[in-house]
Amino acid sequence: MTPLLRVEDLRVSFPGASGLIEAVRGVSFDLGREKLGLVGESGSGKSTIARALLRLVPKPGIVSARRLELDGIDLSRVSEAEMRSLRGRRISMILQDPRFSLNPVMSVGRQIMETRLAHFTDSAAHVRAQALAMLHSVGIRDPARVFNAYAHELSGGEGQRIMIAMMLMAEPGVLIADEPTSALDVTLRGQVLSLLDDLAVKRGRGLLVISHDLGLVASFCDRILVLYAGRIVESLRADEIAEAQHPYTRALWAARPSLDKPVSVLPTVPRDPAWANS
Amino acid sequence: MIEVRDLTVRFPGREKPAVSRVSFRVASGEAFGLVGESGCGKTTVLRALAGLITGWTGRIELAGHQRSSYKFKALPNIVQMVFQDPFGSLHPNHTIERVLLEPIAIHKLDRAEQRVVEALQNVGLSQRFRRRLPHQLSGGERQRIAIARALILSPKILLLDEPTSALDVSVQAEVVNLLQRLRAELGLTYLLVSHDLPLIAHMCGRCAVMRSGEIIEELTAADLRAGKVAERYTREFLAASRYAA
Repeated sequence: MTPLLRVEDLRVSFPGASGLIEAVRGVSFDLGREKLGLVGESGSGKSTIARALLRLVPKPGIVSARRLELDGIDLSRVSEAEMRSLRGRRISMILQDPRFSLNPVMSVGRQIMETRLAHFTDSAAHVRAQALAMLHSVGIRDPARVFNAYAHELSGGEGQRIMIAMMLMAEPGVLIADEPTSALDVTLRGQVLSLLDDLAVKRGRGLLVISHDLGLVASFCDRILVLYAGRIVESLRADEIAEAQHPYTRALWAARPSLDKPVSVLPTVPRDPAWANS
Repeated sequence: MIEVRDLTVRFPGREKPAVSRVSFRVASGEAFGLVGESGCGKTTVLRALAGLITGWTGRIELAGHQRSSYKFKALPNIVQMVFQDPFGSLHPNHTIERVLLEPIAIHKLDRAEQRVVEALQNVGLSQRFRRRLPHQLSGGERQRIAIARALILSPKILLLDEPTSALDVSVQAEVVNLLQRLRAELGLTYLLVSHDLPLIAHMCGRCAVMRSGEIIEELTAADLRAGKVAERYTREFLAASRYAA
C-alpha cells in the first residue's frame, strides 16, 4: 500500500544577514495510516516541516524536496489554486493554542461550516446539521450552545475540540497536530489525545503529531522521528523508546521528571554540533 | 515560614468564592506544591500571598509578617514571585541590566553593580547578557532572568506559578535543577503551583490538591508516587497524568 504522505530530502531555508539559514536540512519520511510523532526542541524545525507540507512557509523561505507526495499527488507540480483545494480537504492541521487559531469575531458554528462549504457543494442547512453532529462526536456536551458561541466564551479544552471538529468536516486523509495538547491541563490532555487516537485508528487517517515532549509522543504514537537542528537523528518505534540509540533521544527521554523513578537531579540534555551533521 | 488559615477570596459578581477556606503551613526551607486544574484557585492563592489581591478574608503570615487583607504592602525582602510566562513578565524594551537594577534602585540598596554580577552568576548566565533585550533570549534564559530578578532582593520565599510550563521539556530540566540548587544554597522556601504531578513530586516534599477553590487533601511526594491518595478526584488526576505523560 502506498503511504499517504511521502517526503524525501525536504529542505527549507531562510535568507539571513550572512547567507541562507537552513531550518530543515534533508528530512525524509513516509506517513501511512498510523500515528507518527515528530519530536524536537524549539527551533529544531518541526513546525517548519508541517508548514512546508501545507505549502505555508512564509516568504522569503525557500522550500525544496526530491519528492513531496500526498496520496500519490506530486505536490511540486500543483498550482497555488489546486493547493488551496487540497488544504483542508486532503491534508489539514490543528495548532497549539485554539485561542489564537479561532476567529474571534465569527461564531464557532460558522467557522466549522466554512470548512465544509469551502470544499463541498452541500446545502447550508445540511452542513449546519453536520456541524452540530460533529461537535457532539468530538465530545461537546451541548453542541447548540457551543455552535453559537464565540472563541472567548470557550474553555481551552472546548477550543481544541472545536479545532478538531473543524478539521474533520472536510474529512482530510492526513492530519497534522502541532503541539495539540501543550496549552491544555493534564486532565484535558487525555481526552483530546483519545479523540485523536479515535481518528487515526477508527477512521484510518494518517496522523502526524508534533511535540517537544518525547514522553507524550512515546505514549501516544506508533513511530517516532527525533529531530535535531533540522535533521532526523533517530527514527524508532514508540515501544522501543527505552532502547533508543542516539544520545540525544536518550537524554530527551531522561530529562522529564517521572512519578515512578525519583532522581535527585534531573539529567539535562547535552548538545553536540556533530549530531547536526552526522 | 508560610502560614495560611481559612483563606477565602471572592471576586465581584461571582456567587461562589474563587478560594474557599484554604489552610496550609510551609516550614522554612521546605518546598510545597499546590496542584489542580485550570480554574481551581491555585494561582489565586499565590496572588493573595504575593499581595496582588486584596479584600480576602482569613489569615496570611509570611516569615512572621502578617499580610493585611485591605492594604497592599509589598514585602519585597520576604516574598517574590516567578510567573508562568517569561515572554510576558519581562519588559520588552528594557535591557537585562535595567531589569535587574530596577529593584535595587527602588529599594535604595548598596553594591548595585556587585548584586547584578552575583544575580547573573546565581542563575548560570554570563555577564554578556546584561546588554541584551528579552527578545534576544531563549525561553529558558528569560526564565533564568525572571528568577534572578526575584532573588536580587534576597527574599526568603519564592512563589512559583508554573515556572516551567511554557518551556520545552529539555529546558525545563535545566530550570528545575537551577531552582533546586538555589533552594539548597540560599535556604529558600518555595510554594510551587502546577498541574504537573511528576514535577511536583520531583520538586516538593509535600503538596495540597485543590478543586473548585478548596483543598481536598494534602499528600507527601512519597504518597503521590505510591498512589496512596484518599480522594477519588486525586486518583483520577494521577491516572490522567500517567496517561498523558
